[in-house]
Amino acid sequence: MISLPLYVFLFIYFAFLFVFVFFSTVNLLHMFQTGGITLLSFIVTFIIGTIAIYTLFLTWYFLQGTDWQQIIHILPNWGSSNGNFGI
Amino acid sequence: MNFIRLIHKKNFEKILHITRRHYITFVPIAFLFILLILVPIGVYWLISQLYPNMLINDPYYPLLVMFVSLYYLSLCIFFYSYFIDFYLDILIITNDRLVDIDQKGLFARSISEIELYQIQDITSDVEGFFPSLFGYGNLTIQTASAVPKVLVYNIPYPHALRQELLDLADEDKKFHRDN
Repeated sequence: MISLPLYVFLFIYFAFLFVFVFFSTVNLLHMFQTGGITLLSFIVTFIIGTIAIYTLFLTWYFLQGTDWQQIIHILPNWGSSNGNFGI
Repeated sequence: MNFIRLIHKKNFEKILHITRRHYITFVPIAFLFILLILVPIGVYWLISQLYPNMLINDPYYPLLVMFVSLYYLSLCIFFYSYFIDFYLDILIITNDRLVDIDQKGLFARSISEIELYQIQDITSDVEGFFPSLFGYGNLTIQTASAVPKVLVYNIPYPHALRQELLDLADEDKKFHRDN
């Protein structure tokens, strides 16, 4: 069984957010540099931006008050009878 | 527009057409995106109906929230990157040349340029139910330049564009012969 504090997963999440911001910036730069700013590209950018912001807001909302110090067991204890991912 | 700077437009050049891939070819991806957005919502609804107490006070709940968040953000990035790839494939036709800008993913772009008088032959294909219904297809341009063949996929009205390109190429050939 592997046990890790929950904040480790938060750091992994932040690392992914960094990748997300990087790729979003590259995408937007392509759009501006190539002059692809039209009504359609604006609408698609707006929809994607709204979904991303809403996702981040809901993530923050649902994770409020989480105890990040708690220990999570991420692999089941194959030898024991209660090794069922904690469910 | 910025892509005029990208192709280094000459002073005497007049842009006649700016063509992108037909919008209808993007619709399947848009539908897939909507479907994939709805999947976690459907799964959540199913779990809340079948096991209403499953997620209450579960230590794995924050992990689940972060996973779903990552899923949606990844979806946004993949969809938007695909849109950029789709939207920045541009065919620019001027009275002097034809420029094919081909965006290949996020970190590659190829720009082919053909002088109109070097065009030897153009083939337009409209094949299949949806291309026939919505009037889009492929153009194959044979040239006498360093780029022997240019393929342009899923552009609207390929037959009309082929005729117009052939007319423009004839005019340009006459101009180059006379001067």
